[in-house]
Amino acid sequence: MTFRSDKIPRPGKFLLRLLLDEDDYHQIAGDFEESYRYKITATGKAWACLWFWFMLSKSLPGFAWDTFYWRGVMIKNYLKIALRVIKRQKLFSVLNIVGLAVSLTCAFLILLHVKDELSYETNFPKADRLYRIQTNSKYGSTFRNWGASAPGLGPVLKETLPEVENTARIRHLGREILSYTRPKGTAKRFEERGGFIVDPALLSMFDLEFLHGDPRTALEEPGTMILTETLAKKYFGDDDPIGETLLNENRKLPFQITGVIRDMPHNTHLRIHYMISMATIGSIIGNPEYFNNRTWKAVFTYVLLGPDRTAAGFHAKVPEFMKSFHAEYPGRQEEILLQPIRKIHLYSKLEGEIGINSDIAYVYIFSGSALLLLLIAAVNFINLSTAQSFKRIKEIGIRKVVGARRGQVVKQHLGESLLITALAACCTLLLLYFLLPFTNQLSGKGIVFGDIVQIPNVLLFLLMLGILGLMAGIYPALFASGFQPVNTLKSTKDPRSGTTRLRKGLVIFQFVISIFMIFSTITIYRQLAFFHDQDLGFDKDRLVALRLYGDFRQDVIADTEALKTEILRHSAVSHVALSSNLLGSSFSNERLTPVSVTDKNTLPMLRFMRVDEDFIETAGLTIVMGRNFNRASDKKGAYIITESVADALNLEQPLGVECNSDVHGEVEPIVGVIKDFHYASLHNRIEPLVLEYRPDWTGYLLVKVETGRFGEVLEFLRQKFDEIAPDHLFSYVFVDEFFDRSYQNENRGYSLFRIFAIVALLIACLGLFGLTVYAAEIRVKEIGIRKVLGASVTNISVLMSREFILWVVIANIIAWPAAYLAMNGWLANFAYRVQINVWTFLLSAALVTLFALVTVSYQAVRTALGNPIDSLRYE
Amino acid sequence: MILLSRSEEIVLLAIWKLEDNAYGVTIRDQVSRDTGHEWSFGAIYKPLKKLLHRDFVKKTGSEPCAERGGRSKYLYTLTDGGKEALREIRRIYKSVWSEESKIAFD
Repeated sequence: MTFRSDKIPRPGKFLLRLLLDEDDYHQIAGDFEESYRYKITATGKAWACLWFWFMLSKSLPGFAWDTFYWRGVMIKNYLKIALRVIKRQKLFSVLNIVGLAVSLTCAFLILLHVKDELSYETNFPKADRLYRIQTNSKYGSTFRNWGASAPGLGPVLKETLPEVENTARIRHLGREILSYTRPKGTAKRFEERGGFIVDPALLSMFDLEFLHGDPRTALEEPGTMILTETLAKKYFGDDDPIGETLLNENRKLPFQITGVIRDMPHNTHLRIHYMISMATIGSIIGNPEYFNNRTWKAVFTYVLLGPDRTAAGFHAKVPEFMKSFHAEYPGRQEEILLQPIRKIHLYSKLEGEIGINSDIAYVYIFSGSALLLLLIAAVNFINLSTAQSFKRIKEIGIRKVVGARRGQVVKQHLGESLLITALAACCTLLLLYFLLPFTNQLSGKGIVFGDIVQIPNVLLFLLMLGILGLMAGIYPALFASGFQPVNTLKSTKDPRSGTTRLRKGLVIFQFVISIFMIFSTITIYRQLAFFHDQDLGFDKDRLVALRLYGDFRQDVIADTEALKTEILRHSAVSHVALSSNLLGSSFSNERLTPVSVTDKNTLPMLRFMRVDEDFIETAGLTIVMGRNFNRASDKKGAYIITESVADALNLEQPLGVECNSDVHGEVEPIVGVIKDFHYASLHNRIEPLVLEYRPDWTGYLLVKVETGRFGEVLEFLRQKFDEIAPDHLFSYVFVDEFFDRSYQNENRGYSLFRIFAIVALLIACLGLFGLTVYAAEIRVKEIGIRKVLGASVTNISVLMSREFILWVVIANIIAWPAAYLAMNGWLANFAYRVQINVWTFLLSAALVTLFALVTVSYQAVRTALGNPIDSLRYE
Repeated sequence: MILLSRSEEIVLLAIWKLEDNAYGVTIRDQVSRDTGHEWSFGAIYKPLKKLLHRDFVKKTGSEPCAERGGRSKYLYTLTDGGKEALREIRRIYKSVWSEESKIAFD
């Protein structure tokens, strides 16, 4: 028999250890072992083992009952003490709980937001196999990375590559005017976004759920349309929409409703409101043949890969595929690649995206801030608790003398911090409930409180609580349990010693974070202000754009002068012009080919916009060479280019150069050169822009209004429009507002960051306040004596706050370089940006110091004003 | 008057019988032998703790011994109070059972 084998089985030992306290454990385990060994010699190992487990199972209930009973008694005592401590030290408890609750709330809201950002496209069952085709093209020296691809690509891909199980093309429609006329009723007319012309395959690839209609046939015929639930309700109420007809007024096309799908989830880049069958394409773009085009970036192509196929396998075949696909277009430099749809929302910034996507950087920034907030609150807790544990030094001493082991004291204190965290959690839930509508507004999401109460979120919340409680509680618990009973009961030691350095470090750390956040907030704010106030080279603040469509548009183009004179009659309107695009939207990509150039593949891509003769003046652009458009002489079309176009095309003498266009193939002269201006967001460098005189291609009426009189002008315009075209939907945009939409990510980031900064500072100040109060408490006698000896209020206030202010200064020195580097990195995202200046440093420092000073001096002055008799007389 | 539960009484008697060799293992063996069926340690220690608490027995650490792997074990001995309690119990039994011959057992 080996020595080992006569030990009782380990699991049994473990169970005993779990249930019994140390003393009993050794005794009883020893008894078990002795009898067990005897049994082995008597009956053999197997029987002994069986006997052991039988005995153990009979004994355990008794042991367990005892243990739990006595533990219960202790827990009751712990709870009682904990509640007493919370009650006795109201201020500290409130500071702790408030700090924790606020930071928990913020952190949880941020995590919800982040979770939502990361959940994009997950509602589609085949999301992992779905890709969008990205097209990278090179035109001369310019590159364009397109989210869009050629309409001819999808079908060929499906035919040639075995990796591809299915493809679907969709084409995004702009703002369309839809109307429904009830028999013998008035028309319901709305401007709708989220319209797409789609291949029927999309329905099965994205598993769109049908409420009415047959998914197999719904999009087969030309002129058919599928609505989402919401849209169907909007036009048809509770009636069955199947078979009804919606009229697209700007294209003058009727559509028959053949299906209703459930609304798209909010977390997708594909915000479909209605879909039109691809078979309709002929009547929308004019020439159905054009839809087999292999170069035009007109659609988004979605690809479903086979179940066991990889994107790498697909990419390997691309070069050869493109060679044959573009066989008829020699010299074309283009490649395609697969973009996983799950990456579109956070990573994709391609040409022609459906909407503005978010950015992964913000996900990191937000998660980081959430963590920092939790950390600050935990640090607060540590600071306040270690300071407080000196007051409980006697309690701990007594517990130890009476027989508590260190582990028990640790458990008791950890339990207390978990209790406080739990209280904070209750406050958090309340706060969440009331803050949600507010934060939804900030983050642009529609999270409802009911949505939050899901198992994963609850688990996340509990996990956060647990981590926070432990993180905050473990150090104070170890610290408090480490006191030597003899010393604690003597209590002659200066209670300040020991932890001062750590506490100092923690406070400094808190302020480093606060300063960092405030510094960042200031910089982000300045960049946003820069976006808003930067001189764009045109006059965006005073422009209103009105949508023109259908018959009315034709009328206006046929006789622009009539309408213009009519509108200009209003005293607040100074200019009226026509343009094809809204300034701030993405313009079309085309090439301008001087007739002398033979190979147009070497030419760069330029941005194009069609305008009339009043546009340049209305937008306030500066002509540097040549002349403005002229209604009479430019009837056949003409170009005005920006200075950068002249550079890009290498035209030394641009005036009079005849140029060919990609789109209509006519030759027109360049008549003028204007200064470059920011017609798109300041994220990117100004790109070369060509203005073409083509009033018949425009769709917006730009009206320049005197500042502050928008209201009356809009009312005036509405009346005018109602008079001239009563069936025309009156729809307008302020150009500056529209422009600012390009900065929605930055704006959102700023609103959230601003809140973090405030919260961080608030929590840090709470902590600082707690520490000052504590410092005042332990130095109360010293201050009393100083006052008796003649110290003034100022002396004492300075004495009390000097140290704290020094900490803040140190924090500044640490935070500055970190914040400077981080913000420089962020600013590098923008082609046009502000410089971080000295004021940012000084302002962030001043703000934090001021807050710290106010916090500290409140208590310092209060202490200094106290009557020394009060502090000294109890001796 | 001292009243003990049945299990306390049995354990107390076992300790008395074992004299200076009463500890967990021997007490359990003794009790099992006395009552004729096997007791678990849990069933021994519960009354034992009560007896300790009431000062009927006291426990002393023994010298470290081989059969416990070099650890000491606790030996239980009766205190004067314990002996008194046993006497009391015997007296009560005697008087309660004094007329047993008159009771008919089947």
